Amino acid sequence: MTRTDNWTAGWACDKLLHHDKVIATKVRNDNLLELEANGLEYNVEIATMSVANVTAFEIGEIYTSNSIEFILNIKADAYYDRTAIYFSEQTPVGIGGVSDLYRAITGRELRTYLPEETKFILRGLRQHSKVTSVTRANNRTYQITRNNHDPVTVLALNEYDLTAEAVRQGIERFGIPSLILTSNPNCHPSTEALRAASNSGLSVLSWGELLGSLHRA
Amino acid sequence: MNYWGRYIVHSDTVKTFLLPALSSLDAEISRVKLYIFGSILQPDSIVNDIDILVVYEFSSELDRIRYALDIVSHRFPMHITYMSTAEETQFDFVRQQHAKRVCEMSA
Repeated sequence: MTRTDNWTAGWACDKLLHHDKVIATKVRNDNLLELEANGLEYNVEIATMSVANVTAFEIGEIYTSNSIEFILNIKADAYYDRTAIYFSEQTPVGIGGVSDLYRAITGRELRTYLPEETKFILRGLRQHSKVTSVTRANNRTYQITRNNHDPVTVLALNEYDLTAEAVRQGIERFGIPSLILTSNPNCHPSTEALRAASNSGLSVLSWGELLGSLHRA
Repeated sequence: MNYWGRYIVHSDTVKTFLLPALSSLDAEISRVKLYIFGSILQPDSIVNDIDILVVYEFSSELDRIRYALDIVSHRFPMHITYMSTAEETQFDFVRQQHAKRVCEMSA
């Protein structure tokens, strides 16, 4: 069956040429392209899609060869569920939007690419003395188990100006957490955002506040 | 005036499709205002996402616009921020970000 996002490889080939490190791109099929870039030792294969809710099943449709190093999703702010994340980690294959692919090319790290924010949160939580494990339930939610305390589910929202609608949508899309982390260090939550979180029985914590709270029951 | 960053300049489809689509939404839903902001408004900038601001009076008005923007966002990488009128005032967002009202850009 023809996919509705069968335009994405052609679209991405044109777009990626704007990146200063990209030398050439070539469409291999509707959802697959080949990319040559400065700093990469060989041409890499990139699978493409435009999908709002990404699962391992969705990925399986376009991940047609294990030579594919990155899955580019044109749809920004997409939801990646646990199965998609597991597929990405285990294969391994990088996954993300256009900005993520640019960073992966610059960092010469396509297969194991993770956004800086995700890397920072995972590293910080895993080094916490109370934390025994951290797993990603989706691309915004972290499930934390702790020594002698109940597990905690953290929803990380990275808006600079955190709004009530971002809180409401975050809960609706990513599931009800134990608390909300403002993962942007310069985040300013609006009065309405704090009220929306409070109405759902949730605290909004900064990174430092979260690390402190993990010591408490 | 050339508002558009390089993303738009190199894509006639975006110029002829995105702006009219957003503009008609902006005009149709009277108590919701649509703005564009960010790097797309800077000529010769490299644009990864199109930043859209939706300012609303009541969140109940958002379902229709969210549905319409969701369809458009499958075709273009868009980052959409929803702000109540009170939040926009609190952050002084439109002025600080030099956001442009969509219906005024296409006039």
